[in-house]
Amino acid sequence: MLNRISLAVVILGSSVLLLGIFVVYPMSTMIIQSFIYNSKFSLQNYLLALRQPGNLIALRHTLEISLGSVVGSTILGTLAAWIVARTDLPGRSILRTAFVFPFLIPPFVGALAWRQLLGPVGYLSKAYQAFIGVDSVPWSIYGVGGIIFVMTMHSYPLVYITALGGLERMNPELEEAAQSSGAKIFRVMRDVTLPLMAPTILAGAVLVFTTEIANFGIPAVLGYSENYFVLTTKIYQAVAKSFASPNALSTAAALSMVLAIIAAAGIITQRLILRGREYAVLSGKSMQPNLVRLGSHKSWILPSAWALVFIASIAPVLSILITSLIRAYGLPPTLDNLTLQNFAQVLFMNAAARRGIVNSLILAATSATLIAFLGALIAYILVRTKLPGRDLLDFFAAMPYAVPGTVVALAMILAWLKPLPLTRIVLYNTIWILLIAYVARYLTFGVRSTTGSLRQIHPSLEEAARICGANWLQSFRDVMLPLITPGLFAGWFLVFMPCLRELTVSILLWSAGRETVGVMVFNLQESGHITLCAALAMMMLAVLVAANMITRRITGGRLGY
Amino acid sequence: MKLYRTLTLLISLFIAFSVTDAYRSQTIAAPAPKGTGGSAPQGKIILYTSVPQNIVDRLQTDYKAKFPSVTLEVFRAGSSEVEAKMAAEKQAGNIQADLVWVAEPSTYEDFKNQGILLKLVPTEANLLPSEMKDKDGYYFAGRLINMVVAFNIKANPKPGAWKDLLNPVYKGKLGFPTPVSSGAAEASVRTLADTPGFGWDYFKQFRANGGKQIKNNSAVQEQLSTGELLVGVLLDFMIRDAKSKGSPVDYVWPAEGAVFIPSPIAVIKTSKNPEAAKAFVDYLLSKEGQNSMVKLGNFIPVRPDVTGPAGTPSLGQIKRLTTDWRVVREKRQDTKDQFEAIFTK
Repeated sequence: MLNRISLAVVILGSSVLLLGIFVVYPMSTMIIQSFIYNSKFSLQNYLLALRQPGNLIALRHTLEISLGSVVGSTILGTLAAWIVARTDLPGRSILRTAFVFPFLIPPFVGALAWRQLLGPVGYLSKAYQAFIGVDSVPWSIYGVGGIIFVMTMHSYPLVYITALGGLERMNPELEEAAQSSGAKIFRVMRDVTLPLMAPTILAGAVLVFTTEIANFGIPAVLGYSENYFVLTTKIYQAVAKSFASPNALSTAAALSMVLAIIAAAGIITQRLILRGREYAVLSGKSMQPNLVRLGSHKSWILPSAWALVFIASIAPVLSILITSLIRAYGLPPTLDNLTLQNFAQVLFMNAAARRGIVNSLILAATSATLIAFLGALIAYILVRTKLPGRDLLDFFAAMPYAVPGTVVALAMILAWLKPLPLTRIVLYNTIWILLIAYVARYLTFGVRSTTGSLRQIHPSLEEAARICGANWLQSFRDVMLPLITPGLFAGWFLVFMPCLRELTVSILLWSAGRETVGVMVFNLQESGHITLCAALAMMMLAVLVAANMITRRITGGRLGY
Repeated sequence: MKLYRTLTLLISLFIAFSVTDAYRSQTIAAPAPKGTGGSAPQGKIILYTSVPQNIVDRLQTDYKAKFPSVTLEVFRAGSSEVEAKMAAEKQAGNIQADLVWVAEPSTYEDFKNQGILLKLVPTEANLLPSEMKDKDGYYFAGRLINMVVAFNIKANPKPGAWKDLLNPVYKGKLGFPTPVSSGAAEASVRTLADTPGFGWDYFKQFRANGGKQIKNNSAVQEQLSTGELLVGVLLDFMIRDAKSKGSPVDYVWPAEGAVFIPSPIAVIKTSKNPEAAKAFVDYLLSKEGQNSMVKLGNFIPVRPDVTGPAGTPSLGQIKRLTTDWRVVREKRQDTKDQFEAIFTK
């Protein structure tokens, strides 16, 4: 008995400790910073921030675009997951991969691609004008509509991935029961499947919400010309002139806390919706879910699914590809103007870009693996224990993702610039600070995707193992772990992909020799070399796709998409 | 079993990770600086800069050839990111950079004001025109950038002056980089606002003519190239660079005068290797360094005895508006507020 308790305490305790080191400590430096005004402790930063009408408008805009994209992403992501996991639609295995694709594209590159497609002189806009015979288009990629659209295209895979994990291990008996009682497929989906899927869908929706309130790339590319500012662009403006005011960092910290609180509100809302309901749909019996036969509905579902793939995945990538092949930006993409020069230049003349690809691969794989374990343990604490203050754990795990990456990076600098206590080891300007920052930033993916799965597992399974004499580790390893494995894998990939293309955290934390590919892509764009930027972005996408395929091959299809 | 396999994977990743990092540190580790006067500089220096990547890469190589015992590390990012990183480092202890080289002088007035710069006398400081150096000796222009009027070749008629941005033929296809995060743009807005005959009215009319604020200079460059914008305000070297590569763009030196921005470099006070840092400044200001800047970056050199890129005026010929960098710094909040008021109402 003692053994059983102490093991659990040691393992869970160390995960809390790691959370403390990786997340709570650096984030606390930022929280404290938000209360420092003219070197004194004060609420002034918050008061000043809230007194500026511009910030209140930005707050409204932030809510507008994040809620808008949550609605869009949840609908698209859930439908996509249902089609892939539960129907007999032909070509599902290709769709399975294709639906994830937009998530591989860095948001700012995606926004640039969409500007090239749907902007006033975009490829699709021109095609539309030529087709209809007009000289304007009835849409605008700039401002609120465009931002929500691009965000939705970019983040529906989050819902898709989490929902897919849940659907693939759902007990099909309930669906079958409904179907054999004569319910039509859409009725089954609405009344049985969807309610059972609520926890995983909501988990995905909360991830989208936190992603988009903290998104900087998309509103920065598509917002300025319409004078449409959000909190992240306001925060960026505050830190951009950090030496102009002694309180610049504090202002940014206070505005970031507003974002963190909004994210917490999102998580609490999710809790309230799920409270008091039973979602333990996994009972441990082996199952081979029967697929829903779509029958005549195939005729419209199939083209719609491929339309989504074309719009969300293929079109933006094609647009980046064209830019990467063009001799000079702005020239029409005729044969004479195409060249491989940009690729050659990035690949052969830019050692930092090559190093960046290697560094990013290593960082992404390591962060994803660490997060899979740490996230699972924290999720277990949240769902299965009565540890006091566990809600605070949840909040801290989510916080680094809910604030702009730049702010996480600033917090890391404040926390880790000095040597570690009692040693001369300095993490700053090593690759370790990037690792710590990535783990902090994406921990919530591990926690979210596993809490979703854990909620679906009935506690009776674990109790049964304990009754049979298994200690905590054995029951966790032999019972819980296999059941949450799909969730863990989903979480692994959810972390791996954005880490591989990470930009906003790395941009302040990289150093010579520890470049990341995302930073190199951004630097090329920011230096005015958009064609080179597109070439490197294409190479990064190729690496991401290859990494996905290799992972899939190695794990026999259980990991990867 | 699966668990152990995963653990093995984790451990091997960890090892790969440590090895890579150790390898990286080894390749760039260098002996501690001596810094005694007279001897050749050595050790490591770190430069924080917003100068385009390809140019810093090349300067790094050239500097290495000249000073083989010095390791020059570069952190390149936008001016805003560089400033944010430095501010956080200062707050947490010490600024890690030895040298900082970002957009424009008013930021250096901020730096000076906060006491983070080291006073220095570069070897060839006397050859620099006075407008290229701080009179207190804290910073020196490493390059010259100018805000000019740029356009897509489809613009008809071609613009020739700032006032042409108010011409209704370009209505809705006009861009100005936003001053809220770009230093060069902030200086331009302030300069125009303080120039007789322009003032804030100029921006009101620009907005009324469908003029837009754009995220940054590179976005203006892109949108001019595609023709989404017909006329825009942009840094001269960026538009020359795009034009020389073949993008359908061009620019004019505005009739009223360009916004003339010496882009300074300075040594950080807490630098542990000021000798090597100063050697870099010397190199950059030398004929050789400025020739590299011309060749690689299409920059107009900061010294009159170096020839600029083809088709550019020499230093003395550039017609310029008057920019008071102290005013740019002191009225920073006002610039932002006025601009925001005009564009968001």
